[in-house]
Amino acid sequence: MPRAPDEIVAVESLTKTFGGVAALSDVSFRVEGPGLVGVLGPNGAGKTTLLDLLEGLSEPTRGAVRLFGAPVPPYPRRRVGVVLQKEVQLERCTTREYAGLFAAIYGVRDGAARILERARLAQRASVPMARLSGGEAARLFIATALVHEPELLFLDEPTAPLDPAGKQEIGEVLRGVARERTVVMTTHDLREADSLCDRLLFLVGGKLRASGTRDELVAAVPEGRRTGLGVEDAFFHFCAVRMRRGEAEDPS
Amino acid sequence: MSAFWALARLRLLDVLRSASSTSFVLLFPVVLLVVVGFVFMNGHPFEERTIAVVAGPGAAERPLEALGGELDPARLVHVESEAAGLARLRARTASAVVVLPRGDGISRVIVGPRDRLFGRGIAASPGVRAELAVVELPRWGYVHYLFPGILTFSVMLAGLFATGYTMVLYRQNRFLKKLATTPMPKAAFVGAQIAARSVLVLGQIALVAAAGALLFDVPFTVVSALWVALVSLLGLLAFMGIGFVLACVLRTEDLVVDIVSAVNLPLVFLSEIFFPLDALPRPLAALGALLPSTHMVQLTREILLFGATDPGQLAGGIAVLAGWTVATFALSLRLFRWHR
Repeated sequence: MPRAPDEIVAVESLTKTFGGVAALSDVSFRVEGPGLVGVLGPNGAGKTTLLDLLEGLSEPTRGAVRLFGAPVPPYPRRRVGVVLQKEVQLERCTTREYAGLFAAIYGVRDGAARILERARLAQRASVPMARLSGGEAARLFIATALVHEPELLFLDEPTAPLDPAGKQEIGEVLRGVARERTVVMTTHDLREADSLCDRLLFLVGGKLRASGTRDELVAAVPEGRRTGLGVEDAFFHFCAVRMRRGEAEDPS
Repeated sequence: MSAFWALARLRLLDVLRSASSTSFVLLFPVVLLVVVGFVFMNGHPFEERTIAVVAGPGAAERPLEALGGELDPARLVHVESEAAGLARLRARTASAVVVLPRGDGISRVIVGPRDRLFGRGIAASPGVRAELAVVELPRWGYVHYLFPGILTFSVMLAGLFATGYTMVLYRQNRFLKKLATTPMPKAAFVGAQIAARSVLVLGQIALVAAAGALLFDVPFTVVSALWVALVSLLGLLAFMGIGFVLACVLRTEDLVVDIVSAVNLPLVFLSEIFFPLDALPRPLAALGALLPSTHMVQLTREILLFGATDPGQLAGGIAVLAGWTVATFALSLRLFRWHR
């Protein structure tokens, strides 16, 4: 795959197997420039496996990852921020101490204050982080992942534990973040993806079924199959139909 | 603040903010010392009588042969000087001291008030011409003998659980995975765990030492206290290294608790914590002699009870503790993965 000048993430024929079972099969895509990329798929689709590989937490069985045009490893940790699925809750640690730890790890002077300000948690600095609401905690984790001003941010289902108001709030935060940097997030919420993401990747059964902008993917759905649900129509067109075809073709 | 200090501070605060963890680390050893001290202040029911024999150059051999004929030779322990024999008597690691004469002189049998009859028996044994001397001994002598064992047991628990349990917890709550996404160096992470636990254990040692000195007259001096602190920190490193290896191999908190508990019990019996190695069957004694816990007990006992503060005297035990530390940390750094 030739390298584009503003290439941020490039994945080539990425495959990951666990005990002979493929969690990810031959996935290839490229992300260029700033914006919010959504990786969509049901539970078990391989989203977290894909993010683990992109975050340098595991090694591919086959294929390669390139970040900022350079092969991984070595991993450019200082240029990347990460928000994990079900983030860490240190029971007896205050919000300020948690922020301070990550500011210290990245060597950012006054980083704790910057995190708290960005997360709008300055008034909650002395509260144990386990007592933060879902929305507050999500803001803290995102602000912490941005403390070193990374060019690329990965988030694994950041809104999954939130109520609708929390999802909307974090959605707005992410839109703001994605104006200046590349954000790759996984989600299984099709409506959220529809409203937030500039570009989408549909992942089902460890395989990339389709990718493109929202409008490109929706436009690919035959007129008669559109129900006006946008990304939802596209997801079921590309994923559900092919899954049914796959089952029909599978003699077992 | 560097990542190392930030993480060490966070770890320390995490323990200090938990009443149960703080009590376990700081108060449990003191309670254990007080309970065991009062229960066993007069010795334990399985105590075997040992005689410290002082045989200087040109000492008569006949009384020794006579004693050997009367007693199990294993119960005769040779010591360098009368002072060393008396130190054993004070620490209740010997029931009597026999100072052999030169030539045809008269031996001296020294016992405490409790063992007056035992002393008379030795002095009256055929072939042992001896005069009996009864000396006053500290009331808490057996507690002095137990003290190094209790200190070691406390440091051992703190070390094994500190890394073993905490690392598995960090793995389960995904803190290690989170750190893996950052530029946090592995060595800084491990160092922070060691630093935080060392501060706690120093507090623990200070409390146990204060309780030992104030309640049971354990004979601390400034020099011996510094040596005990050094030996305890070395022991802590060795136990933390073992806990670290366990944490790299085991996956769940429950399993770590079970395994550490299972390891603990034999260590207590094989490490001279309650009774000397030579009271054990030979294969078990040989195994016990390899353990870091045994060396920590023996070093602390040598320092506190027998006044050994010369580095040359302590070098062997310190080398064993250092060896365990280097081996276990080298192995665990090889096995350690931020994320599975």
